[in-house]
Amino acid sequence: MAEERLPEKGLSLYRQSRNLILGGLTGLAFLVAVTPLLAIIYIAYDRGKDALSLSFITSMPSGFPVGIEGGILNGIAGSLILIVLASLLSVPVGVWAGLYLWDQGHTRLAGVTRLLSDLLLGVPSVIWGVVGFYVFSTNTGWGFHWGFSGLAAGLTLGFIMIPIVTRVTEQALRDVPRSYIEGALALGATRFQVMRDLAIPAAITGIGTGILLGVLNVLGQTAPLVFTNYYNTGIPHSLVGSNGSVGDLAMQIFIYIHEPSKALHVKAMAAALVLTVIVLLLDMGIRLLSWGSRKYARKV
Amino acid sequence: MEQSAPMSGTLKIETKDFSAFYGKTQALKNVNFAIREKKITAMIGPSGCGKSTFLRSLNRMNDFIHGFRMEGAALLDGQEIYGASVNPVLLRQRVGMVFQKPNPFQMSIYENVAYGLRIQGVKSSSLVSDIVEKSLRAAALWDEVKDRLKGSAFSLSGGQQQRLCIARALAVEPEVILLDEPASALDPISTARIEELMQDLKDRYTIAIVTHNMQQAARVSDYTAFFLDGTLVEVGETTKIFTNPDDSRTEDYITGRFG
Amino acid sequence: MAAHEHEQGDSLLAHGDHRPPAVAPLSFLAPDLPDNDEAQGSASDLSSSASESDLKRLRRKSHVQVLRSERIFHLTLRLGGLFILLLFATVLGVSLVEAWPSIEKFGWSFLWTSTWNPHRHIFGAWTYLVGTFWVTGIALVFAIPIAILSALFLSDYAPKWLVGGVSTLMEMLAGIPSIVFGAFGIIFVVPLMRDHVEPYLANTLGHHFDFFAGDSMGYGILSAGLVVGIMVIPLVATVTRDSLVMIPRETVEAAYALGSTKAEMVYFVKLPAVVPGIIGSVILGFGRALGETMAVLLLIGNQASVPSSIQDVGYTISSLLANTFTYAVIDPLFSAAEIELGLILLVISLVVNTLGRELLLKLMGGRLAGSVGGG
Repeated sequence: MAEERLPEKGLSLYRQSRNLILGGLTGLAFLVAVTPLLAIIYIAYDRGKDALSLSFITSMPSGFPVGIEGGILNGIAGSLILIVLASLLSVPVGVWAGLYLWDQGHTRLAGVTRLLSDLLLGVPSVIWGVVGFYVFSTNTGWGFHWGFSGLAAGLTLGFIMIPIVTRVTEQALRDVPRSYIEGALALGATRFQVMRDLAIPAAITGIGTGILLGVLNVLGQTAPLVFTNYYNTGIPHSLVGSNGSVGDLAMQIFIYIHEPSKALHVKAMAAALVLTVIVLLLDMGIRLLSWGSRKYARKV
Repeated sequence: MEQSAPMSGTLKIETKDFSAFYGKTQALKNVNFAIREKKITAMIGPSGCGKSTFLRSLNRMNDFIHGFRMEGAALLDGQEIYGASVNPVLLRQRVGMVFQKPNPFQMSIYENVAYGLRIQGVKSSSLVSDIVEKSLRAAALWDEVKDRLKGSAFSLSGGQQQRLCIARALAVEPEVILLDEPASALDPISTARIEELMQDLKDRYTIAIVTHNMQQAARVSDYTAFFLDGTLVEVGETTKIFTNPDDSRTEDYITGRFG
Repeated sequence: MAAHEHEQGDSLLAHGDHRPPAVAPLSFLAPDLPDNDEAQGSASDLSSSASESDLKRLRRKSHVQVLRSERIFHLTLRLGGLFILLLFATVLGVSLVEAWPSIEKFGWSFLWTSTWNPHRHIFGAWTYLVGTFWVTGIALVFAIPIAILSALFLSDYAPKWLVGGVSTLMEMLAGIPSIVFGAFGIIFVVPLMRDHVEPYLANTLGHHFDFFAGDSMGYGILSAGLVVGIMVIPLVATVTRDSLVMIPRETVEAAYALGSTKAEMVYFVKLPAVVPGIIGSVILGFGRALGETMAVLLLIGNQASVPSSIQDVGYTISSLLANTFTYAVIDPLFSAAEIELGLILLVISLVVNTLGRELLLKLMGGRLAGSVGGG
């Protein structure tokens, strides 16, 4: 033991204690950082457990005020619809733009595109709501005049997803080792052939990860829905027009927690737990995927 | 062939005052050099001397490096490699390359070799399998892999992977093969096999090899060029370069006084 | 346009020599591609060596078709990039156009006018700007020290077997949606503040500084700021940690070799080295906190008054928009004023994110941690 501590010999008490204090502080800070996050999950469970049951996720809300009885099927179904719509818009566009940034990344135009794409990542969600409102929802002026509807909200969420998918797609393609690409180019492959035969197959997991990352982000978005969809206690027959609104998990939590009803708060916390669990599971899936693709990248 | 005459053989590739730049850094300075048909030319020199840059310039692999530009001329059979109407894709079908680290594709062994043909639009499967077999035989790999052609290329050893990459390059019938330190990541036995292979291929192909292993250059090449700080110090028959170089810097390098 | 692209050395296609092509279809896109071997002329003999076999000739001929589509391929890809430009233009354009009536009417004075009266058609941003910066400020004051220390914990102090797990945990928790934080705030933070923290503050510091005094309602800028702070900690910590682990091992070893304690190494070597990374992460955290909407909306009390104490209620730009925009649209000037507020928020976000991006790009050489506007 004494030998092991030899390097510390001659350290003043001041230096030793300073060393210990900084170490302790970092650990303490980390606890402070992580505890509330874990507390959220615990509290959501603790306050929502009375409402939790299988039927909570398989039944529609009922009672008065609506939701005081029944479950959150409308929200789950609506969130799914929104994710599908958002993906339909953002996956082709985002992947397309990501391919462009990979292929022609050194051009000035691509540099500007990359900057703007990154800046779109930081656009506050209320702004997206306003944009979605004028482009899709409003019934006056220009735009699509779809009203507060699932389609309007889904595509607005798609807007939010596009830069995420773009960035991750480009990154995944860039992670394909240069030597791998050069091997094909040296055979006289065109850039298109390299992309189709090598780059995309090697990057496909990464691109998939990016799409899931986008979905993860969009899943919890609430503010844009306030501007483009609001909420529906049922499941609509149409996704456009005055009866086109869909339910949504995040929106549902917002509405329930906003009500001065203890019973609805319980439902809100239960719904918050469901949403959190979905998000965390999705996150875990993404990590597994990207871990797998990194392992693959090491191989090639 | 007048094997014994100094610097004999037809010029396959020739450069005239060839300079290369990465951004503001000059990597090659006025290189005047010739690679002779159906000979093995080795390029040696310390790291960063420009030998790899030079090799990669010959099939325009540097085009993909941002900020790369060249001056002077590089000729293949008397035609400008960097000419305005030259399509680099077509150029690379004639001037193939094998890299430092084996880089097989994530495909079967068979598909790795067939890939170059497929991208050129060769549809006939009998033709493809003929060429695949021929190429694998030429790369001295056929006997080792003939029973597992559908297996993943990654199941091969490093040395086998590198020979697969050579077979892959041969399949598109290039005229010139550029080898960029092809054995530096391999064990001695695999290295020996690659060197043997180069001797076999020399009858049909023009070969240029970059190596930092001087013994290797001495063993395999007909001609050797010594690069230092982006300039071509000396080029000549390998025996002469290694026994009686004209330039004192070459002598210093091959006798191990620097580098 | 084509020439520009080639200059960058990024395309496989060489500069065209612009001879008129022999066959019309598609060739305007590919002036550099010969239509057959004969038409190539001597200049492009590189693709038709005399020695080549018939097989080779056949292959290369078919390859010319592939090459021709290559040109189209590059142009088609560029359209993908165009979507991004279009989307950005839409965001900026919609905000500008729809805010214009307000910009035109109030000019710069919009920024420092604190009246917000839809009935008298007087609108000013001051109250909401102050509220926004209050919440963001409280969030950052709370988050930055904790985040930096946590980053140090993860990079230097945590036992190796623990690091992977706990940092993943923190990153995962960062993905919890804003609305869940808001609900948590209402259920847990607001009662905690109302019953314990705020009365305590009022009875201690509050006696001496008005800044801490108040009637302890629970809702207000303190609760909102703290919850937003909790939300941005993982972002700031993760980005800081990423820059900490990029410090070369040699630098660290050099410090130890001089007999530094761990604390001294961290304080004198690591922290100074990551100042740009810390600034970058704080800037990103600032951007994230600024746009935070739902949690703030639920917690801040939503009252259009300029806070003077940490216990006061307030209103932020984003929570005002989310709360009132749908009825503001009835009145063109009212909605324009709200969108002008949004535009201010957008401009600040864009500036902040550009700064943070440049800083971190320089530091990390291309890989930028995600910062997505909160929901």
